[in-house]
Amino acid sequence: MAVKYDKRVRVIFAGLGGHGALAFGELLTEAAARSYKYVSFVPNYSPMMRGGESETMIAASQEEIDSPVWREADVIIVTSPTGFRVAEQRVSPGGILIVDDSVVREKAEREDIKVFYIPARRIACETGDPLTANFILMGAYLEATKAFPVEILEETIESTSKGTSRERLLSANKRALHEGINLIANYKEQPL
Amino acid sequence: MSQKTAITKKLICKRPTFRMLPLGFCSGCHYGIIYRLLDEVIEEMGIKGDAICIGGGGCSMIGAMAMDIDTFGGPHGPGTAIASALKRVSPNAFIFAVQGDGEQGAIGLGSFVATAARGENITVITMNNACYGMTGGQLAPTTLLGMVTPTTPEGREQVMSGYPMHGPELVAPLKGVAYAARGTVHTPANRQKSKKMLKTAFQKQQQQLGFGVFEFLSACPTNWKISPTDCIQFIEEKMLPEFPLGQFKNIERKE
Amino acid sequence: MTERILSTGNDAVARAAIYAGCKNYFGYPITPQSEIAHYMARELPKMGGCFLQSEGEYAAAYMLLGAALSGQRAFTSTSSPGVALMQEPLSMMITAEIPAVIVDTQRLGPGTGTGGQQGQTDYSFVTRGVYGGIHYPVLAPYSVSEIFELVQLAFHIADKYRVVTMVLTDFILGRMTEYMELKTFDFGPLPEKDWALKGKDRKGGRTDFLLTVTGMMLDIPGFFAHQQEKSNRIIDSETRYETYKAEDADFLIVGYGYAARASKRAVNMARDQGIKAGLFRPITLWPFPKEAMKREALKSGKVLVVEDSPGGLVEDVKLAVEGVSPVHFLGIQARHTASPEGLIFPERILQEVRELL
Repeated sequence: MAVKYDKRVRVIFAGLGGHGALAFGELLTEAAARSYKYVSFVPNYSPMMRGGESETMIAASQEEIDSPVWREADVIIVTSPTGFRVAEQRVSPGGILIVDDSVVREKAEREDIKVFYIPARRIACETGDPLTANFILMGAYLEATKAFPVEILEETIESTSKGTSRERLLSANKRALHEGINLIANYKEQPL
Repeated sequence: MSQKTAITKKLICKRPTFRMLPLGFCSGCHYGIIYRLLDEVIEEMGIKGDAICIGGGGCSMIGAMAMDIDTFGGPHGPGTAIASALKRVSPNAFIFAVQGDGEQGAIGLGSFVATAARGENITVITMNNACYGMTGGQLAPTTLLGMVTPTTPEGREQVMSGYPMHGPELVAPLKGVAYAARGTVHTPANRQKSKKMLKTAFQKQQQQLGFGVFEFLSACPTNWKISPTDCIQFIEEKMLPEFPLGQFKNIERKE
Repeated sequence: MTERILSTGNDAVARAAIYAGCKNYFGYPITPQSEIAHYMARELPKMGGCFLQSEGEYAAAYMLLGAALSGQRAFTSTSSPGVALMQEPLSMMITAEIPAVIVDTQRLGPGTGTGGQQGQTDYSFVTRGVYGGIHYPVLAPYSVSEIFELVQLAFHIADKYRVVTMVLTDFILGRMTEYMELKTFDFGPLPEKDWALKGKDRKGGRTDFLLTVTGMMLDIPGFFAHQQEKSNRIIDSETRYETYKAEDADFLIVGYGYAARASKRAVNMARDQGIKAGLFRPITLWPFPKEAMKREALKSGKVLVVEDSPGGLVEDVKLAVEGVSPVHFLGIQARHTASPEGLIFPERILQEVRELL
């Protein structure tokens, strides 16, 4: 039985502890589980819960997932300045790299991948909710890949935050999600 | 003669039923007396059918093997942890752990104190002979200052090995502890007093008041390297000043 | 219809124990498996079960022993250094034939290790048995749903043979989320626990004495003969393994736990490139599937062992293969060290396969 590589989602969020990689991964996994028969989610972080390199790998497929861990991913969202170069190398050819350029100063060098620079952290801080930066990136991911309709994500945010401390951030998170979508929809290539 | 026999019969209780006799303790050792006391109290309280003994690893285990109740034995030190869990999963059973002073005061000290602090509804019986009996009489936490053992060849010195440890007094201030006391069996009068205290300790578990600990002082002629009769004198003159007898805690109801 | 839920590996351990009818948990916090304790602390009191956080791993395993003495199912979970602290109680339980289950969610490395890091460095330590020369079964799942199944199986094996049974997972398996089906597995009938300590009134007046002092209860050769006979029965009946695309493979990758998942993907990637690779995965690490390993190695001709350690599984594979084919090794030094903790990725395994062709 050959595995079809085209019918699947494979995403990495590479950040630092506190950047929301875990929340991003959990949310995307929950959302993916509504459309895909198989999902896997691996949180992978250094011993430091805060400030250390933190990475999550999310996969979804209609067929059984052979491995939940891989070096190459179709889409990588990176918010870690120290992890940026490695993240760039790990995007599959033809894949997408989404960079929070309010945190990461470097620019990508590869030409065989699509790169989006989204100042998510700065925008989130300006709106007064720095914690929503990962939701801006989620919106950017959705719009850049069209992997899921935004409604599924909104539903997932609602159902997973109900009764938790995250409920307070519900409307801010949803707003951030749309902010990210708009940023990609109106994205202009930056001159090199 | 016949009159004397009658008096004796009155004084001494029914012979306890042991699963295995003889017990195999060294001559002059007090562990046999202590185990007999344990058995008497268990029979008198009518809890033989519910009782489970967690023996340790050391001389104390030999007696545990002989008791005609459900028993487990062998590991050196963790008796209080084992007893805690067994009591929690079988609350209707009567659980007591028998420990040597080395098990309680050294290797098993962490579990002993933690179990007392949790207020586990179990009873711990300590046998304090001021040395490690089975391994050759080495320095125990309870060894008296000046006592010669294979690991204190010049006698226990405070600068080298610190002061003797007092188990019941150590845990008595903890809120989870319902009963803490010490007794001895080196005279008939003390034997009877100890029996009474032992019974009280057991009653705390029946009344679900919390952790109970009762320490017996015991002779160890083999390792003390003196005669059984000299051991009695040693307990009287050397051990009693260091290890006071009596109750250090005895609560009647839970706070 | 069985319910299909998303669960982490650690939660799957806890859920499986409850599905297996185990209501008693004892443990001491240690990353990366504390979530198991969190789950049990939340759920067991509701069911009238016993959750107790101990004063250390040594005490936790002795509490496990204490609860298991009652004849009830009990389990503990810990991670590598914790397993070291549990060695004495494990040996005591195996000696006195007290059944219980222990889950080791491995973390990386010797010493303190690193709580937040993946590693498979416990293999040799846990598969060689306890001090005293006696083995115990070790089951190695590689997915969340398999964790759920094998933890239940571990309880069955423990009760069937009166032995401690270990389930060996790792940081990745414990923390990862996948789908699993909630169901109770029926592994067949079990002997009555007539040896349990309950107090003689509950046993028709009979008393039992369970002793860990080997020499005092049985003659020494008799004790070991009994243990050997039991080990043989476990080897005959419980050895488990799985192959993937191994039928026509001329290159066999061997791995367990997360490394088997990465290897499985490497097999698929190799097949896409026209390389006939296959996977052999021991599910029981002890008893190790020696005969099957040798048979498959002989068939494919080339063997590559992939494990995230300096080498443990590779020793068992070499012993099993008995030189019929070369055995190569891809270990901890093949980690992709630039990522936060560095894993052996499928891409790296494929590269090794290509180099060895």
